[in-house]
Parts: sequence; structure tokens; C-alpha cells
Amino acid sequence: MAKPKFSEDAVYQDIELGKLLGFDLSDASELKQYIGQLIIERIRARTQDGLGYNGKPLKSPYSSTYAKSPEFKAFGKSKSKVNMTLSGDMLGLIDIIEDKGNKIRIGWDDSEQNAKAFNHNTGDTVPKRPFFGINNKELYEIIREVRPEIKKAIKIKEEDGTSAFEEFATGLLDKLNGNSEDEGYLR
Amino acid sequence: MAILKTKVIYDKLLAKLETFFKDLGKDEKMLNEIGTFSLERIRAFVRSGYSLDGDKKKKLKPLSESYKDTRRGAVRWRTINGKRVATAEPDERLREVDVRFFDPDFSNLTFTGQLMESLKYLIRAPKRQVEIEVPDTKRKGKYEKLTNKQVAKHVADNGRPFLGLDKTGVARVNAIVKSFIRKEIIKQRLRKR
Repeated sequence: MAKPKFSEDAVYQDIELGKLLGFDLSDASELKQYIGQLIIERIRARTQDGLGYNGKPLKSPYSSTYAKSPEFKAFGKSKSKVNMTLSGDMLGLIDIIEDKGNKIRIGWDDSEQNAKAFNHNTGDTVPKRPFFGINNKELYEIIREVRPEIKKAIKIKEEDGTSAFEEFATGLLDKLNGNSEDEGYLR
Repeated sequence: MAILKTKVIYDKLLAKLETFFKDLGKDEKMLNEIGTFSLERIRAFVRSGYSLDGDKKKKLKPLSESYKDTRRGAVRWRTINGKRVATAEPDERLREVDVRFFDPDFSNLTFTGQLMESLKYLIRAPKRQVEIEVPDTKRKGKYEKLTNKQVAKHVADNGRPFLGLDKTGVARVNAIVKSFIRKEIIKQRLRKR
């Protein structure tokens, strides 16, 4: 499986879902989106438990200067609990930024969060705390868990086709992912 | 006129979601998640000195030197009912200070903490809106004459509007909705068998 890539312009990881599952998902964006969401949530949950990409604890504690900042207090942080979460924006905006063929790409569609992620993962101007990416163990756990569901979901689609609800919901996702020319409807 | 409510409106999106999601409880769950997130974001950013009124967070207008003097000079530590508290007595009014976030020199709309604590969100279910508002509730303290809503209007009218959701906050809400839809598509399909 491809390891995460880190550059100032792009922090991302490509995941070949088709290969991992043994199913052709090139015509099943909804399944890739579903699995991608589970992957994102796993990265987030593990990081917020204080563990890095390699499963080891993230460098602790936070610096005294940082711990004295108003933001640190206002967001209820603890000096010894390093979890890459202040406002939650960086982890909260990890997303599926590409969905092509049998592959998805996880990363940030936001230059500010991407820059933060680059900094933390490489230790550019802050202590190095590599958190981004799904490691092999985590990925295989997810795949093992979802394989029966995915197999069933593919079979239902083959037999029943796509429901009106699915078409609608997939269309909505396209809009939210910025893949639609429709006007924004948020604010 | 101060903006006292911020509406995070998903009319078009959520009206359609309602058509398709048979179990209304799920819809409520997502709206509650959006409400909680928005509320906590506003509170935390204001307490750290920022307003979310606008596309990007921005620092709240600084305090005047005379007001800082008042806040600085007035704080006294004492024990009340066995609890160690800081109190401020400008103009001889006794008020309990929010010791977690109060700093006499820092502009973060926090003195007793009641304004931020009063914020709440409401789900307007038929309209599919999540509203964050400052309620028109009484404040604790013998000499408190204004309601929380009036205090919010006062601070906003005097250059510190604070209610809002910045672009990044909207993106976060977007992410909540996406996570919900991504899982629901598959759940709905699997329910067929």
C-alpha cells in the first residue's frame, strides 16, 4: 500500500481499494466514498487518542508557550495529552480529495490545513508529530470488517440497480465535494 | 443593528434529505451534531479572543485602557461558601469572575462568563434550520440589569459582533453532512435484504 506523501503543496495518501477488496469498484463511487469515510474516521480517532501513524504515542508534552496561549485554554486542552486537536479543523477537514477508478486519495482540499499537516508531519517549524495516513494494520482491519458489507452491496446493486435515493444522495455528495456546477446552498 | 442570531441554513439540502430519510431521528442526529459543533466553535473562539462574524476569524476589538484599569483593579480573591473565587467590584457591584477565561487585559467578551454560557442552538425541525442564538435570559448577580441578549446587542453595537460561522466552520459542517450521507447510502442499500 502506498505510504502518505508530504509536500508543502500536498499532503495525501493513495489507497487502491479495488486491489485490497478484490472487487472492481470503478463504477461504485458510493462504495469508495463509504470506505474512504471509515478510513478518515480511523485516522482521526487514532490521532485523537494520541497515537501517530506508526501506532506510537505522539511526542509529548506540548510546549509551555503553547500551553499558556488563550486558544489552548479556551479549547480545553491538556499539556500532556497531545492529540493534534485545537479547533479540530485540521483533523476535521481530512477528506477524500480524489476518487478515480479503483483508487481514492485522502488528504486536504484546503491549503491552510494542508500547510499545518505538512508542518506537523515533517517537523518543519514545529516538533515532528507524524499522524497522517492509514497504516497497513489499520487498513486491513477496516477492509476485513467491510468486505462482507461491500460484497452484499455490490450484489444488491447488480440485481436491483441504483435506487432514486442513491442517485439523489450521490448527486448531493458530488455537490458537497465541489464536483457539481450547481450554486452553493450553504449560507 | 447587531446580528444576534446566526442561521446555519441547509434548507434546500435538508428538505430533500427529509424526503428520503424515513427515520427522522437520523436527520435530528445530524442536525444536533451541527448545532453542537457550531456552538462550541463560537464559544471557544470568542474565549480565545476571536470573532467568527465574517468569512475569516478575526481578533475582537481591544479593550480601552480605562476599562482594563477597571477590570485589573477591581479583581479580588476571596472565599465564598468555602470556594475560592475571584470577584470584580467595579462601581461597588459584586460579580463573580469566570476564572477559567477572564484576563483583565484581554478582549474576549468574558467577565462573569454568563454571555458565552448562555449561547444555545435550536433546531427548527420543519424548516430544517440550526440556529445559534443568545437567549433573552436574566443574568445572575444582584446588580445585573441587562439580559444576555441585551448584553450581546450591546457588545455587538460597540464594535464586537461575535456570532457567526467562518468559512472553515462552514467547511466543517459540510464535512459532517458528507460523513452522514456517505454512510447512509450504504445503510439504506443494505436494508433492502
